Amino acid sequence: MRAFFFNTFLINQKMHIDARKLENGSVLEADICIVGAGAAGISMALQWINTPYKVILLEGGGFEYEDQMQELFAGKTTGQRYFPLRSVRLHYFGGTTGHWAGFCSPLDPVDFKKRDWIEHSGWPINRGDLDPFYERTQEILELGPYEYNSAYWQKRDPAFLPLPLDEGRVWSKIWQFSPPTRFGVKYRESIVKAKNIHLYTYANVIEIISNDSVSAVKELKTTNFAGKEHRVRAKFFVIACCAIQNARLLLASRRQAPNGLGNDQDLVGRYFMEHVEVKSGELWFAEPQRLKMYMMDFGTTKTRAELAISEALQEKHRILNGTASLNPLELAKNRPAFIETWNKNEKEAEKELRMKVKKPIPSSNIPQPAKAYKGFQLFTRIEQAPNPNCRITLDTDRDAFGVPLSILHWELGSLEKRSIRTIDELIGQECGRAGIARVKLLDYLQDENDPSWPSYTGGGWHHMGTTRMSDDPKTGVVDRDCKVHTLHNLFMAGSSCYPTAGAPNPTLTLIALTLRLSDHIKKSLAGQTH
Amino acid sequence: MQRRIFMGISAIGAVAIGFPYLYSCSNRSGDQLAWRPFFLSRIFDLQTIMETGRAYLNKEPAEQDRRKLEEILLMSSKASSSEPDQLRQYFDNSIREDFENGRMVILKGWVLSLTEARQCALFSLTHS
Repeated sequence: MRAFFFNTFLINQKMHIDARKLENGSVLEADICIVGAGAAGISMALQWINTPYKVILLEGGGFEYEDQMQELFAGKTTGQRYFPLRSVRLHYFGGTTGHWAGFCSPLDPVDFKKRDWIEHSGWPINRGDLDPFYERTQEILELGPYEYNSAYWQKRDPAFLPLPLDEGRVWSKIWQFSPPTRFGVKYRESIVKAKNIHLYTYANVIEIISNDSVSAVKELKTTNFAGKEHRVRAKFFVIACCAIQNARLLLASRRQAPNGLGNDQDLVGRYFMEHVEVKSGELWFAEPQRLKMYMMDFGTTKTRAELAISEALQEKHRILNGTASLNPLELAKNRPAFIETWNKNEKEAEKELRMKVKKPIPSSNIPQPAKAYKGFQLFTRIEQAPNPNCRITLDTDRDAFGVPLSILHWELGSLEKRSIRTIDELIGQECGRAGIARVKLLDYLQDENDPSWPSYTGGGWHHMGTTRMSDDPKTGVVDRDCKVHTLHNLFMAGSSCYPTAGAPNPTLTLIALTLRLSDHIKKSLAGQTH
Repeated sequence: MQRRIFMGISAIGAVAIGFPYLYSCSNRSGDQLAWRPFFLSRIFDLQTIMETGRAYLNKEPAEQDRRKLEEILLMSSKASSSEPDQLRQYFDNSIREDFENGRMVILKGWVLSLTEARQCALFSLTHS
């Protein structure tokens, strides 16, 4: 009781509290508790500013990068070569937006559909359900208007010309670029100054504790390196810690549910998805081209296009959705693959990570706008087919707080490889038909019976799908409102809810989904009030 | 639609009437440039055209005959004249139709129309 009053006093003074300085055993209470102050968590908290509700936002780290905090994200990987887990997410206020590149594009309508050639595909919501939230997300990410039609951007810049292709076959899918918004910088003041948003830093949630019947969350247990443990109680809990940590936290919360919370169907952690990102071919024009619409100068470019395959052709060829970006070969050939850059030993990765946080994304090797090129590298990014064997499990090794570390098993199959090959072939076919260019597939794609992947195959640090969404509790961890099926007050926010990945980078969609969740909880709370 | 029908009828007629004449002329040195894969020669050097042609012939050994290749190329290109410009135009059309209809072949990684692959093969035979 004493602790509760002590906290209340603190809260009345300021809305940011360092949980290391609270009296041990404090009990914090609110209407909503959001766990994780990354893109999803902060986006959600922003929606609640100046509402009559009290919101607690818990962040495990502080406002700056710290090795000790990153160490809590360490883990093992098996299967397909992957990045060190401790480096793929940032554990501080602002989360991984601290080093993201700002690529944004909505999922295509086909991404939400049940596709009979892709097992476990299909969302319980569609693109139209997300459109209003995509529009709201544009502002949060400091993007332009919610316009992803190439014709719109061409009107604004006549030099922004799409390749003369049949859009019914190969079309130019638009990306918009966030500055990129560093949430930790951009939204810190708004969050800290908001009277009803109570930000607690150094509040690592180590367990979700449910009631005895495992039908609702009773409280969260947090800790920090000062050795303090606190409890957080709320009407609604939103876990927004990223796809890997969301699953880890549910799996590690075994006090009342031996297999982890929400895991009655053994689905938590399964269907982990990444984007397969790999150089795949070359596109050669008869004459040098500037291709302004497809070029990118990091920090300057606001929009660019990538070549995408129509829904009809995806269905005809029974392939995954994907897009190919064009990069001048002259520049791209000397650029190391992401997986090489980020898969050195842990110390080197850590050093690079620190540098990235300070000075994100190298701006060298960018295309010169005035220069024209004949040869371009095709860099293809595809969704990964949902696969129950790609998953997060718990290790017997534990972190400094005693929480089991994650093990990520990532595997790629024949559908992914065939899809990349087919996408590039279809681009080659359409460019040939238009008489503008020819495509050359890279060696690893030339034998259609070869299942192997080249060493430079990587992902985009895009983690999705470990608490997938489905109307049926037997096939999904959360329902269409991102509520854990078996717990009436527990919600998962972010890309862990994706049933399929689509081709675009996940940030725009995960925030849109979070805004939708936020509206849903507001309605639920209003319903409880009246 | 009408233009397509007209082109189709013209093409069939052209093959029937023009083929013997064309074939007799096809070895003239002045025509040889027209037989080369025009678009590819703006991307490939001669060596690459040769290698691509050899790759095609390895894949389709039954076509490893210059006269046979010329015959197939003219049949598929629906040529009606031996004028180099027109011949090139016919090949261009044939290549576009190949891509439209999925008549493609992958040689050394290149996604090529069947016609231009055969042009490469013919080039490799005439320059080996």
